[in-house]
Amino acid sequence: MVATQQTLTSTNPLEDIAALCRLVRIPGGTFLMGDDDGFPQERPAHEVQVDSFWAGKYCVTVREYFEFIQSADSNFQELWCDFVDPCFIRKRVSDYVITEDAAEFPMVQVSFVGAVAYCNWLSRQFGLAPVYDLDSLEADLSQNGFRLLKEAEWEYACGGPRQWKYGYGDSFRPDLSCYRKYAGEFKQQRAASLHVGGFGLYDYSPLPVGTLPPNDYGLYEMIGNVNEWCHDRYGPYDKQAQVNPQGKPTGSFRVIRGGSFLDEVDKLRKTYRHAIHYSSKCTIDGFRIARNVES
Amino acid sequence: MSRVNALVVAPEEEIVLDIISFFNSDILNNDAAEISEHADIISEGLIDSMGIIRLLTHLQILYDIKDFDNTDLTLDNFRTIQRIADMIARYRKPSP
Repeated sequence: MVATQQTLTSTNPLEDIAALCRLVRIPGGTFLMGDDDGFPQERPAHEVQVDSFWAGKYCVTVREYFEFIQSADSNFQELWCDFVDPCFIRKRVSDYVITEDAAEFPMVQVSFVGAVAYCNWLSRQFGLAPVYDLDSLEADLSQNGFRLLKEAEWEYACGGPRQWKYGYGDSFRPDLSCYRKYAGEFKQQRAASLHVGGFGLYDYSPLPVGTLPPNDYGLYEMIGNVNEWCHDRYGPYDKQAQVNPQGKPTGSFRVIRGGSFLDEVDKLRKTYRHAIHYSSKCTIDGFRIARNVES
Repeated sequence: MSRVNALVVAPEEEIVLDIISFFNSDILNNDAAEISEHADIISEGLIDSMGIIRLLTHLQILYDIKDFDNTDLTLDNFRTIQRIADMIARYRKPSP
């Protein structure tokens, strides 16, 4: 269950929020973003500095998102999600229901708007200031509420303190990411193997969050499993060094990162980037929450 | 990338030329391949989904298009450069 203000108990509310929302504090730093040997959209590699931030240890789960849908003050709009197979939340005549055994899988079939609406709702649960305007999709990143990871934050957090190419090392390990050809020790826990959410009809499917080992920052399934919506509007990189970049000011396409259970090895790198329309809802796309570190 | 001189070409043709220009420089990397506005760029494997996003992002900025409707983002609308240009022309702001 997602924590509410009533469940805050310690003398340090910031620690409470981090624990209850399963956040990891990522120390700021400077790194080389992009890859001159990668796909065109990954070029040019350029120096980026990011401040410290909080990042979700896991992608938002079906259980967490379902609580948002059910909440009286969520103002949930059906167009934010799709409920067609394969899916983890089903729409019935007058309500919604979690597909059996799907609670700990990552929430998918949710648009960028549905993701940031969740962030705003979660902010309100903790008395924090919402970041996003759901009509314009503009954001006030100075607010203390929850948001999506900025693209630079995502890549920096994925690489870990040593900025590994694959998040866990510089050589691909087929057992450490849920991707198209995943055949590791947890393959029987994939949704298809468990016949969860209609994935039994397909060969490829996600694992529950927290199944595979975390990276050196303690973040789970950054590479593979499901793509993750990022805050940024897509645009080509600039070659100049950047400080806390936050994407282009206009545009219909938002960045997604990480690759998914449908992807081949070439997409499962920390620098790989793609983008989709902000209203797209796909079975391979989920999201992870983030927050500013308060000074 | 500079826009082709709008004084000497019709608006739709201007869009076609802008798309071909982007194709040559950013998709084909100036490899001197000639591309027709009627060629099936999907079937011929000349562009992938991210290439389409890069192209649309470029055109969105170039023609100051506020937003694309997701229902227009279908494979059929991207099959040829002419079809892409037709779609962009529908979104393009009328000149003052």
